[in-house]
Amino acid sequence: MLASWYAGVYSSVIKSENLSNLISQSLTCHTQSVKNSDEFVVFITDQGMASKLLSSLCSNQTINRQYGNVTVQWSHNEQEIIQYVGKGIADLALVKENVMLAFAAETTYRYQTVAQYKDYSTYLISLKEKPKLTKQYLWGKRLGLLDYPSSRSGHIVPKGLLNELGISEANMDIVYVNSHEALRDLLATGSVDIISSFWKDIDDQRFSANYITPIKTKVSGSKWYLKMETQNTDLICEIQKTLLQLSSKTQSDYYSQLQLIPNHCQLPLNAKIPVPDEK
Amino acid sequence: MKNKFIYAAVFVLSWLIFQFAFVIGVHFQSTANQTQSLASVEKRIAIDLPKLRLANPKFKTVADSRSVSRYLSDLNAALDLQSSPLYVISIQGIAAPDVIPAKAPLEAYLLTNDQKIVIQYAAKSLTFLDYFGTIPLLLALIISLLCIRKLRTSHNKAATVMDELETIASHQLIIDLKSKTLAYIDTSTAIVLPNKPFCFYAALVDFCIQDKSANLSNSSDVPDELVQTANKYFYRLIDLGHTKRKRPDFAANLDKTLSEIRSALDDIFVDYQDEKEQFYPPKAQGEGSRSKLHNYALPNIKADKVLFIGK
Repeated sequence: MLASWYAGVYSSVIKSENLSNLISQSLTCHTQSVKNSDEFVVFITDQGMASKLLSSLCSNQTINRQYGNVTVQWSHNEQEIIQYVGKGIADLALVKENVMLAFAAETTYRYQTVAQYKDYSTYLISLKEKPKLTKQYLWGKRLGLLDYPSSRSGHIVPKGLLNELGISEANMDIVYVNSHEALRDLLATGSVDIISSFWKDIDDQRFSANYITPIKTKVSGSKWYLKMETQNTDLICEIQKTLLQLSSKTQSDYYSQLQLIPNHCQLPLNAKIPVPDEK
Repeated sequence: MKNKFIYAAVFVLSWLIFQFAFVIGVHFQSTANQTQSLASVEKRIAIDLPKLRLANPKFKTVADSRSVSRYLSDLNAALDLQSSPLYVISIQGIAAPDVIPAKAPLEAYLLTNDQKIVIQYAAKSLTFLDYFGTIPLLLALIISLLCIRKLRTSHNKAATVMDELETIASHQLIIDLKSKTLAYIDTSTAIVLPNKPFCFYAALVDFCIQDKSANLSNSSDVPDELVQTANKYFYRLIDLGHTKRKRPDFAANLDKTLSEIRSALDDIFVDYQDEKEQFYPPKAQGEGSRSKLHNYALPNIKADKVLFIGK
C-alpha cells in the first residue's frame, strides 16, 4: 500500500523552480575593450529605439575605445527616470526638459544637451466640434488626460488651463489613461468629450483638424543629455553622429525630426540645427 | 473454472487496493504541487509589482492593460515550461491572453501598504491517465501471484489430507468389538462373527502386525502368545456384554475357526477381491491343510490398514 502510494506521489512530482525575471527593461552589449570595466549607460523612455541604439553605440569606435560595455535601459516609470537622471547614473539620457530642470541635473552632474526633438503644440481635440477655451464650454465636460504628471501636453498644460479658467477638477469629469494612443481611443469611442494631446499628421484619419484648439504652442520636445564629467569632446561628437543616423532610420515622425545642438563637431551636411526662439 | 474466477478476483481486488493507494498519492502530490506553484507565482508577481503598470486609485494612475496582459502571457509561458499545475487568469481584472476562463477561478491576494492585488488563477485538472500507473498493476500481479501460490499450496494440502483421510477411512478393515463385527470401507456390510472366530481373528491380526515373519502352521500348536491375545479379546467381549459363556479353547478346532473366518472375509471382500489377500488367512494350496509348509499367518498386513473399535 505504502509502495503504491509513494509511486503515486513520485509519478506526480513536479520540480518547482523559481520563476526567472519576466520584465526586461534593458539590453547590454560588450565592446571590443574586453578588459575595460567601464559601462556606458543610456536611459530612454521609448523601448522601440533600444536595440537600434544599442547596436549603433556598440559599433562606434570611440565607445569601443572608452567603454567595456553598453547598456540601454528604458522605462516609463517616473521614479526610475528620477533615479537614473537625478542621481547621474545615466551617461546618455532621453528625457523631457522639465524633468532635467526639476533636478538641476545640468549643474549637479554636468549633463549637456546634445540633441533635441522638434517643439510641438498642445491641443484640445474633440470629435464633433471645435473646443473653446472658455469656462462655460469646458464646465462639466468629460476630459481625457494622461495619468503621469510629467507629461506636458497630456497633463501639465491642460491642468494649467483649467486652473487659469478657475475650473476645479471636481467640476470636470476627468478620465485618466496612460498613453496618447489610449487618449485617442477614448475620444474615438465617445468615452470622453475632449482630450488634451499633441497633433500628428496621421491623426486626421480619425479626427478632424478643424476640431482642434491649441492651448499652448512651442512645448519643448524631449532632449538627449550627455553627462560631461570630463571634456570628452570625441564622445559628444560621436554621440551626435549616432543619434543623427538613428533619426534618419526611424519611421516615427516625431523621432525623425532630430535637431543637433551645435558645438565644435563637424556635423554632416543634412544635420538640422535648432533656430533660437522666444522659448 | 471456479479456481480461475477466484484467481481473477484476487488479482482485481489487490489491483483495486493498490490503485486506490496510488490515486491517493497522486492527489496528495498534486495538491502539494499546486501549493508550491502558487507560492512561486505569488513570489514572482510580488517582485515584479513595482514594475507592473497596475491601476492605483490613490495616485490616480490607470493600468496599462497591454503591458500587464503581455506580462501575464510571459508568466503563463514560463509556468507552462515548468509543467506547472497552475495558470494565471488575471491580475486586478486584467486578463491574460489566450487563457480559457475557468468555471471556478481561485484567488490569491497580495497586500501592499495601500492596495490589495487580486490574482485570479486556475489549476490544470489532471487527466484520467494521470491517475493510473504501472506500479499498482505490477504490485497487484506480484501479490496476487503470491496469494494464488499460497492458495494452491493450502488447497493441495487440504486435498491430500482429505484423500488420505478418505483412503484411510474407506480402505481399512474395521474390527468392531462393540458390535462384534468385521467390515471393510463402510459398516453397512458388517459381518457378525461368533465369539471364537471373532476373537481368534482379532488376535491373529494383532499378532501378525507385531510379528511380520510369524509362521503359523496347522501342524504345530497355536503359539501361546496368540492364544493369550485371543483370550484377552474374549474377556473384552465379556466386558462389552456380548457373552457370559466360558472362555473357548482357541487352540482347538483351528481349521473350523479359520474356515469361519475365511467365510466371513469372503462375504466382506466380495466386491474388493484385489484387497482381500492381506487380510485373508492363506488356505493350503495342494500340500494339504496339515502340511508343515502351510502358514495361515498374515504377512502383508499393516497396522494402518486395520481399525479396532472398542479395543
